[in-house]
Amino acid sequence: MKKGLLLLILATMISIGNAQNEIMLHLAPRLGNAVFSLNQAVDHPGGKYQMKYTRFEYYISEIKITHDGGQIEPCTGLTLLVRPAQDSMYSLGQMPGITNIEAITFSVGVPQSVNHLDPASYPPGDPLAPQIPDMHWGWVAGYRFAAVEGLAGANFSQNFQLHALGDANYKTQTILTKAEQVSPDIKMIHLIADYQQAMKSLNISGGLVVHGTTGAAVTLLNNFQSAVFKAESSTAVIDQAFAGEFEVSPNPVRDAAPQVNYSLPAGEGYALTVTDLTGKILARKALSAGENQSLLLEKMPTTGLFFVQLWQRGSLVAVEKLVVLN
Amino acid sequence: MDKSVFIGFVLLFFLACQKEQQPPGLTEPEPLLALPPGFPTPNFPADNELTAARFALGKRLFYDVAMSRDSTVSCASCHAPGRAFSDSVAFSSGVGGLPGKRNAPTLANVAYQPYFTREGGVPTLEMQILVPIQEHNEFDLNIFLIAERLKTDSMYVRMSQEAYDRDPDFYIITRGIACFERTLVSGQSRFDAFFYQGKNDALTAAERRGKDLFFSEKTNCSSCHEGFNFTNYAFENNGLYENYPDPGRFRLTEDTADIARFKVPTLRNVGVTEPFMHDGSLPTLAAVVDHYNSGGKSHSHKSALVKPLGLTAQEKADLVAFLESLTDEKFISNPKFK
Repeated sequence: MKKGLLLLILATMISIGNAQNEIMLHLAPRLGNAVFSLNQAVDHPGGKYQMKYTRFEYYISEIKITHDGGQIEPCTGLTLLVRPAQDSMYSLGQMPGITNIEAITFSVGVPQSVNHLDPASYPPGDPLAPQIPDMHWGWVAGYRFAAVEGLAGANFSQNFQLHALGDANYKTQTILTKAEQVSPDIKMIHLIADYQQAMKSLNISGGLVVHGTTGAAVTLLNNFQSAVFKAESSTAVIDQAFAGEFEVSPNPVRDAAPQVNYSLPAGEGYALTVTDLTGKILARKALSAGENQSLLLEKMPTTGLFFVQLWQRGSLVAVEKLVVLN
Repeated sequence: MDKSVFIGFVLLFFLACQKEQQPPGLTEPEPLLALPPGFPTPNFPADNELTAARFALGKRLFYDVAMSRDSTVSCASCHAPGRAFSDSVAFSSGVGGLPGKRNAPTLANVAYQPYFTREGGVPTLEMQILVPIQEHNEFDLNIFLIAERLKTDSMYVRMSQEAYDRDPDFYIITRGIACFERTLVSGQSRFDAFFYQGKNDALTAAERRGKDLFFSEKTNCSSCHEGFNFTNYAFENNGLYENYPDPGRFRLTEDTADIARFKVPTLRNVGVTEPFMHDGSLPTLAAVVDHYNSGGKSHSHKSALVKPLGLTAQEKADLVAFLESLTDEKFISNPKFK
């Protein structure tokens, strides 16, 4: 692992100045300390009752990267439709002039200059084109900045729906953060997105349906501005006193099956697992000790972040983050 | 002369006569966009210029109940051609019989509207198409699901390709219907014959008296209902209520100055678009004239132009007569639009 990490660092250093420098944003979806998923019971931030989300979608726009001593690089024209139940990683584009990332600035919602344009004028698949379910509201000719729905109250019997919009509620936030060099060509900004906090100060125990620009809709968007996102405190992978070598290649992998290259010291009980962000095991394989071995994994099912983990007798000895860009 | 030659002469005679008379089947087809005298050319967006294929596609969509979730209502359900593309009831029914919240307006001359809906929040006709599709008490359907329905119909696939060079999707639905609706130009009423074509006998004496009243400072009708389309598209309060259940433009702007203000409607074809007002609360033109004659109810946002008029019974009847002269019989019966 150490050798693999060293190679990665060397490759990173060599790549500095390379024209190809993709910046990616990883919004690690959380419900408190748990990984986010729809229909998962979680405490309301007030702690007095539970809730579960059945829909959670929002826009991010006007993203700017602060880097290399306060320089600012805008992601011009980029709007992300974030659906944490489906995706957590987004390309912000090629930015060859960026070496050290210092902060990311963005707004939840759609800027006024875009908010009232015709969604049907965008190509199918564009985040601003019509969606299922709708993220655009016809009679106001504007986008839902966030659409959050779910259940709360006794036995989850109360329905809540918050569709928040309005030019006045478009607010900017800046988060100080560094980026992880996940490959020679790609820098990854990791943010924790704790969607439990989206309901902060919102009483949904008796149900709540607000589609609009005021009241609870404002609170929701204020929460998105101040309580949901924070920098990931550590992006380090586990690196114990493992004397072997272990790397996944290519990483990131695009539309292909990744290969694990490894050398394992003498011993028994080695195993390899591949998990998704929720910890769900997608593949498991027993490995044998030996030098310069390789194992071709199956192509990952979706774009996203996965963990390739090496175990020995039930103890985790090494982890590699695998970035899949299908 | 034998019998066959004689018959031939007779046939030639009739054919010659028929040519002079221009029977309907031999006349030039009416252009897709027929502009009456005095009417400007409506602005068709660069990505939605008028073509025969787009008109045909939009017309088919306009009358298709596949637009609604339970396949019970189409655009034409609330915008009937015989009523100048408006409805006969105060609140039209959408899917499941759910009532609407506003009276369905006429689509006559909708191409000239600078913005859409009673509060004016929708900037283009293409975007307006999205409104009834989403509303739960109208079509209550996602536009993707409409497109999926259309894709199962080979006729729609062919028409979409011909019109926009793509398969049915949200683009062809919004563009097609908007393109069709822009051709709904109405300006061939008897008033138009009188005013724009100089036919002095097109209006009766009562209608002419009513016209003079309409355009007078005594009534101020034409201060808001101005121009060739009889509207200045402003947002006004006409004193219909002291307390409005419907907040009007405030619903969009959340500016208290906009409470109970509604877009001034066109008066074209007003003789066939009853009931009137944003909520369809006035059943006849006589009731509308009575309302304005009374000066309306007290409201802080009421237009200063709405005040007691002191009209006689004859003057009120003349005004109604004039308003009925704005009906474009050709428009409401035109087979091109059906």
